[in-house]
Amino acid sequence: MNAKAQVKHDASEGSAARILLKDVRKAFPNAGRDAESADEILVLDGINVDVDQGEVVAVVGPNGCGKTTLLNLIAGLLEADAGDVTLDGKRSESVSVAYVFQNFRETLLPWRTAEENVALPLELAGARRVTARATAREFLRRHAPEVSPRAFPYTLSGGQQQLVAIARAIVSQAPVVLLDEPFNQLDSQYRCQVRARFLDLWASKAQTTILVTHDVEDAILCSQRLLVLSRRPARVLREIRVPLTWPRTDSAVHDELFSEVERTVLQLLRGERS
Amino acid sequence: MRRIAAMTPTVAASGIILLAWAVISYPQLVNPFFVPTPTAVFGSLLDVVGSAAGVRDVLNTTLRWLAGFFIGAGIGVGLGVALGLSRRTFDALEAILDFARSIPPVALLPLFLLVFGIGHSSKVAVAAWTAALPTVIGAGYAVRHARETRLLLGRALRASRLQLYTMFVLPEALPEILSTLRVSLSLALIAAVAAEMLLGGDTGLGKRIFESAIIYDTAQLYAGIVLVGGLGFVANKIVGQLDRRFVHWAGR
Repeated sequence: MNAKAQVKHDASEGSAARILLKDVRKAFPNAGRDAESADEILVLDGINVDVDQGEVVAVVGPNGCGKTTLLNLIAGLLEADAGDVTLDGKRSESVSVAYVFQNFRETLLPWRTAEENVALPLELAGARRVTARATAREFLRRHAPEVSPRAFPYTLSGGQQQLVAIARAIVSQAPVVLLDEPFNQLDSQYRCQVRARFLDLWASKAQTTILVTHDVEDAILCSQRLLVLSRRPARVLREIRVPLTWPRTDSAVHDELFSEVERTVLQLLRGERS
Repeated sequence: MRRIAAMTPTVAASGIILLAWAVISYPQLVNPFFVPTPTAVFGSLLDVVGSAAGVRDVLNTTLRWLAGFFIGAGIGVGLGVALGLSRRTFDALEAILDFARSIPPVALLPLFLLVFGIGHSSKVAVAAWTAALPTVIGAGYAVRHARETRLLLGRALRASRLQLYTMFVLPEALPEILSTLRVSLSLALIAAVAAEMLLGGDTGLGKRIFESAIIYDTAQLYAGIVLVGGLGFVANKIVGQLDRRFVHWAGR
């Protein structure tokens, strides 16, 4: 009970948490019936990640290498087989995490309007319903004006639904934000627009953020540091500090340094294909 | 205007059936004892709803049916939700509930007669029993069907158990619970009318239908059937409206 109250308290302050993974290993039972295949599939092995309070880190890696598993471990939705996952030195289950799932559409509550969906984390953290909804409405008005706050999710386009899901994570005061392919439903032009808006927001928010994406451009542009993962079982191949000013604008993609980082990452990823 | 246009096929289909009935019954192509004319049936229907005894029958049936439904469905939803939240209890009781549901309520009428007598309470009890069983099972499953991803979202945000139930599981179960209730409502009417026919007492549409057959008044028999059907029909429409209003998002 005490721990719970503590979480609520932390959440209301909008603090950020340090994310620490030490020698984390995670395997899943092998569902295939092939007698020769192993009993389990090793997804993550010896993963060490240290994300500072308020830092924004992007994770890139080959398809199916375990990026989502990494997020689920941090969110406390999965338990590591070995190693430690801590948020601010506490077991991750005690710190509130705003998570934009890859299948975000299933996580928008269909009985809640856009604004009520965005208000959800605030209500869960103990805010009064009216206050939470007013905050959510204002947030949508400022950062996602194309979404009408009173619309139900099923009346919104895929891109708008995704905006609501992202807004819901960012409006929360959760110390940790996890984004799993948060732009994948947006067409390229819209994507740049949305990215620019959220770059702005991230710079002003204190939340520690991990962004998982297969899009190298998004990863570099939207993070202060990159983690390039190997193919399964994933290890951290390389950590790259993005040598561009932060907060950043969309125009940073034209920077020479940007292209340099992009080349490095693409080369690393190419080596992981085959 | 659009509403009227939407109703046209319904009106047309009803008109055709009425016409067919008239064509068969007025020239007495079939023995009028079995197929009385529309005028005879509607005349009899007006007699029934125009008489104090007839109104009392309609009211009594409606009351027994709805009282039974609300008692049974109320207990059913409560119990079903509780069971749905506790997987182990649900698994333990599932076979027993399935068995109880498989007993035709009519088979229980003598038992209800012994326990509750021939007054209102036995009919209400039969209707309640009939409404409760599918509701328990339906609500139980509805609660268990909550989507995993939505719960994961709540768990990541460290929602308390109570918050998970009230803000995720129950709203999600609502459409399925409502459609279960719709079925229970119809079943409760069947049960109430059957109880009126077979459990004695001297009021109710079931009783009136039964007695019409005994005194060979087929026009009144059909009038009774139309009245009972009308009750069920109206109730179903009302629930349909509630459905559309409160769970418009279902399946989206």
